[in-house]
Amino acid sequence: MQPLTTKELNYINDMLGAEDLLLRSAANAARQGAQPDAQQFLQHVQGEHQRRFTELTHLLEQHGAVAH
Amino acid sequence: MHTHQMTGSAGGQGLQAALREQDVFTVILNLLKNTAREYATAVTEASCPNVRQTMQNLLNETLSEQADCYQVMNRQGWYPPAPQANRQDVQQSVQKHRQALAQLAQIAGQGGFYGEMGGYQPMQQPGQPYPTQQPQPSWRAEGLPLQAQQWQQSAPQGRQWNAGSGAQWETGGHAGQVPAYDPEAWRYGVHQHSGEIRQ
Repeated sequence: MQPLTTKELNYINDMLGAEDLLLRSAANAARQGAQPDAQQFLQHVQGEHQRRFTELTHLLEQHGAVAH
Repeated sequence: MHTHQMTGSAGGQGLQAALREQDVFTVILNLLKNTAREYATAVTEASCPNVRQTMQNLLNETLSEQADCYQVMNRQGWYPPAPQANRQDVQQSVQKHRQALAQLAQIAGQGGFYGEMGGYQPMQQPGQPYPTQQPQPSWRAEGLPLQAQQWQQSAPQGRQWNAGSGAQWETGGHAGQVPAYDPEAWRYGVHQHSGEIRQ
């Protein structure tokens, strides 16, 4: 495992922000919405974004160990 | 059908929300599209293979979700049907590029897509798709997976050199075991003649 470049760190930070925003957007849409088909989709993807967020934080943790 | 709820202000005065459910979905759809583009950029800018693979996985997942989101919207009737390309325009494009395709086949020659199949063959049955997967040549004892991710390994494992049937690019005078022409070798930087790792 090689240390993260500053560029990689920036991208991971950006994508963490993106997943965060997507989760919040889906949660917001679920509160407002009515269509059951849409609701099911929104519930499902909140979990997905949470999982991807976690995957990105794991990436940080793994590389944190080898950073100088 | 399920009636669409009107969300109002905190006072509950029955005011219509500026953002309808379909608008909220459009926002999410566009967010997904942009996120996919950002992941794609992150893939191309990653130096660590581990980081690159993670970003690529997340890219694929985001693309799947964007497709699902579109399907949900489409089923709700929130998406107007896209205008279709007319037949004449499509035929024109086919004609224009048929010549180019033949030229490309000549230029690419043995190294090209059809090289191992014995040359360019024009489409026999209109409507049948071309094969998109490169065929595995019969003389290769062990085909590499097309998604070979050898770059992930810091050093490739010892290659199994097969006695080849003598690929055309080889110079004469090889005694004993002759490495087979490996069209995938460029993926992991192994020198085709000597087997040493190309830096």
